Amino acid sequence: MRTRLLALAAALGVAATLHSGLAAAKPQFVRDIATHLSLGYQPPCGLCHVHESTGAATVHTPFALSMRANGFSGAKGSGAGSTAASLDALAAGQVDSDGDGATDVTELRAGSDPNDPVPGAGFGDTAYGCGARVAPRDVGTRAGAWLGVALAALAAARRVRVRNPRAAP
Amino acid sequence: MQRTVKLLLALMVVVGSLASARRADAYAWMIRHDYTGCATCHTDPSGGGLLTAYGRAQSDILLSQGWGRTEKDEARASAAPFFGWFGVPDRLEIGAQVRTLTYWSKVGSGPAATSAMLMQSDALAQLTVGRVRGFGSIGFQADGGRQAAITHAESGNLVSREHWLGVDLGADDQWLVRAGRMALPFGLRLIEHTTFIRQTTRTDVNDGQQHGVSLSYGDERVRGEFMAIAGNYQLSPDGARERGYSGFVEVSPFTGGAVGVTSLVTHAADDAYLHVASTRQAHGAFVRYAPWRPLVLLAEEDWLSQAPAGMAALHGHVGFVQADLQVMRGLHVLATGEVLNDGVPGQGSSWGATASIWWFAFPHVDLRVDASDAKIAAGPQQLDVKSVAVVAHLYL
Repeated sequence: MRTRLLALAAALGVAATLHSGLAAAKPQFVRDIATHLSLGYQPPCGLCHVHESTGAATVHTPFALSMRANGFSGAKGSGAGSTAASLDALAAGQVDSDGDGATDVTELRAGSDPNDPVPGAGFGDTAYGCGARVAPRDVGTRAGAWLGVALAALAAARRVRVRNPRAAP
Repeated sequence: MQRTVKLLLALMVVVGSLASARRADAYAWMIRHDYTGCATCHTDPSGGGLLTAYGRAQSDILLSQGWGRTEKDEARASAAPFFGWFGVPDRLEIGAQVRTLTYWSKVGSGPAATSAMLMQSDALAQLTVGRVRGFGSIGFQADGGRQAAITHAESGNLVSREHWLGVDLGADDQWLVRAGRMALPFGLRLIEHTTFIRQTTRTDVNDGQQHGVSLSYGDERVRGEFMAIAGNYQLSPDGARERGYSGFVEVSPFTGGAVGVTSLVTHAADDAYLHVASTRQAHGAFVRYAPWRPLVLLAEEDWLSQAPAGMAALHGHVGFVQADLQVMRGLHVLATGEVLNDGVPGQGSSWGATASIWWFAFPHVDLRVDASDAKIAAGPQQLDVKSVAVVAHLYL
């Protein structure tokens, strides 16, 4: 009984860990944006992700939708070319995704948020997590990995013990 | 003999009224089963999240596909937490939720994007000692959910969406006072957390919970909750935390129908999304109505106001309507319509339409497919967004 439960928990932990590993590659896009527009800063996740919640299903901020309508795929490995081409299209089209009167590219170069209808408003410095300090970005991933590995080991040990009672101390 | 019959009838009326007063609301459309309240099936008095033992039984009897069983059959033992693999003391409610999403979307003439993600993997528990109960949830989220994160990564975080201590009050535990992190009591509590009404009012059940103190009430005709919001202490700086109130009152004037009003006012010194001081308000009304048992209509309309420093106040509205048709027990077809105008000058309205199929295959498993077409206002432009989402949900 407990073995099945542990095995299930282990599977969930491992699955979550694998997912987190895949997700960890996504900040490439903000780096590509910063490079292409020669920004002196790296925009936050909230530039493209609703409520700064990363994940492909949240690439729905007004700026992200404008980028996607202009060729940005958001796919892993799509390369900096897709990001650059979309930014160039936004600049050529004078796209203003938040309706504040300044174009998205102008806002990014000025350090203001192209999703924010308040004219000139910046990106802010909101941090997330208990105590909400800024920490290395893979802390949670490592925690998930260790959780998954520990549960898997526990489940395996339990299974061995159940199948071969003499192996128990 | 006649006296005995009268006594039996009186007993049936009393038992019936008590039973109906304690009925539950697993999903807003469970009103088709004459369930107007939420507190007996859910540990949260306003619905959603962890199921009670009674709620699990109702889920098996009414919600899941019968596979030859009828509503008169008793709930299976496997409907218990974790399929009943182990016993759980009466004072302890436990559960786990796993949701996976496969998502395809396309914006205008841009390229389509497809992805898969683990939306939720949470463990939940409530311990009750006398009239006092404590609830907590913890999980791992590969993407998203940052407002509920307790670790600090950009992705791959441990999350705790809810944790609170509460005291039941009243002769039939109609009242509950809670303190901790809770879903904001506002409008229809929907599992569809990405709808315009839940996103715009910041009242979604994914990670929109906040810390505060709430008082809730529920009987067979009236339910409501009021929460004093102290802010989300899982984000900082303090200026980004919203403080104010949120609440609703819903009245069920007849069987199979309920109407409610809802209100929210918050202020943040440095709003997390507008990055300036801002006061926002949402006030609205919502309806749940089952004109025919297989069909349930849900609707909510909220007036929105946002007053950010540095610009004129924005006034708009957001609306939602949904029809849920239970084709057969366990199989639902839904049609949803949405509209949003957040009042940004020069920006039009956003519209959305979604067709869904939702199959509650077994007591612990449901599958859902949503196909959406939306016109999203982004400044002066309006973008066409098409998407298909496939969600698999395991509830242990």
